[in-house]
Amino acid sequence: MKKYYYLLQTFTLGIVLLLFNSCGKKGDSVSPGSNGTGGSMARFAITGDYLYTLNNNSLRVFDISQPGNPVAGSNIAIGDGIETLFPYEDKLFIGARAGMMIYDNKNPTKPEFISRYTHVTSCDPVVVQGKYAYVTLRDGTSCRNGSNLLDVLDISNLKTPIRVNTISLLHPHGLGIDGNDLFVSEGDFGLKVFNVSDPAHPRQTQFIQDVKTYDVIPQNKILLVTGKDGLYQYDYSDSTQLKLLSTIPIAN
Amino acid sequence: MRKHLLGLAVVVLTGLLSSCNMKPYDDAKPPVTVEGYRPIYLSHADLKNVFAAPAHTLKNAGKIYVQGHFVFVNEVNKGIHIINNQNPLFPQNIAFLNIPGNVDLAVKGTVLYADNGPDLLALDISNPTNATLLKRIANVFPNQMYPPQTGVSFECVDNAKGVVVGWEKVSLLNPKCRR
Repeated sequence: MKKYYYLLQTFTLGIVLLLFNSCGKKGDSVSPGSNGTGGSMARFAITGDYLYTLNNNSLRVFDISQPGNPVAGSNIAIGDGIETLFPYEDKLFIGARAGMMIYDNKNPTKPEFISRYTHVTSCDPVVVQGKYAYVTLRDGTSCRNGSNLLDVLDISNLKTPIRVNTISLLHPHGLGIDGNDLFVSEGDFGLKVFNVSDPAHPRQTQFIQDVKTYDVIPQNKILLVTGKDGLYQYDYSDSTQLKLLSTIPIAN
Repeated sequence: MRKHLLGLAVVVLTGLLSSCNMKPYDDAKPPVTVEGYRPIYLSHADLKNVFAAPAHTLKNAGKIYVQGHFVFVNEVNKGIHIINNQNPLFPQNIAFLNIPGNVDLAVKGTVLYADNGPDLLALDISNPTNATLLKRIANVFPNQMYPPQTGVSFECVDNAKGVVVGWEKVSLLNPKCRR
């Protein structure tokens, strides 16, 4: 009997190792079905078997359970001035000129409106981690009379997001969060790094001023940054001291 | 009394003009040149010009996307650069997908989804230097009928001219649309 028990144990261990191994490979394009990651300015996002797209004033769902054969699904009117889409768990966070909207995605084929956080009219991508949403607001011609801010919203109650902090910025665009690190593109002014170990109170730890930035994707300690002049990659193992790994120049 | 009526008329007119709806101007008015916005079109024929091309220098970068060791960089309204990022110290620009009117993208496994003006494309990128079109879903993203700015005059969109991929600020003679 004991023998069988050992056999079972070895078998289980094997399965567990196999699982871990496949987890490590997640995100590699050779494993079909794995989804990628977009920047915060994205208007396309994939969660599970669904592709969500924003266009002018609506949210359109595509069924991609057969990836090579997408099927158009529902088209939900969500108002004017939609800018960005950020999926988080079973919610969709939508940045619009008039504020941030939260949609429930439990039924992935038909997202439902939960709430809206309104602010002064400006441009505003959003990222979410845990109970907090981070929204940047910026001014500019098409963003009208906005201000330049980072708002921290407590979203523990999704029906009533509450602003818990506001930080003045210069001209923020895209942003990205990974663990204790929040990265904010400051347009022509550079790139800011904030420590969010206290999530409601981001603390600036670095300001890189020699790059023009538009959006970021932090992933596996490599920060991808796009800007007017280049595609930059930084190692953020030490987030107080980002290390430039490479640059691909971008012509204008 | 007349003064009040005049005042009321001014208020009503101002309200009408500043509303977000498109209000055609009165044709009988004398020609007026105003600063406004004109749609930039991409013809319906050019739109279908989707193909895999050799890598070229990154330009006018838009959205970015990461999938496995590949990085995708949109060139606004032109297509998508594919970067092999197996070694982030030496990323290799390996291919370009020519997709007119493209601004957004997402990837699931080896399939890339991209907007191509009003259409959604699914492309097989299992061989990233030789992507192939798997499916086109036509007319899922409607034309942008007005510029993002408000309180401005603009040349009305003519859907027959093609897909609107942007707006340029120009002097317009008697523009018929406003928002």
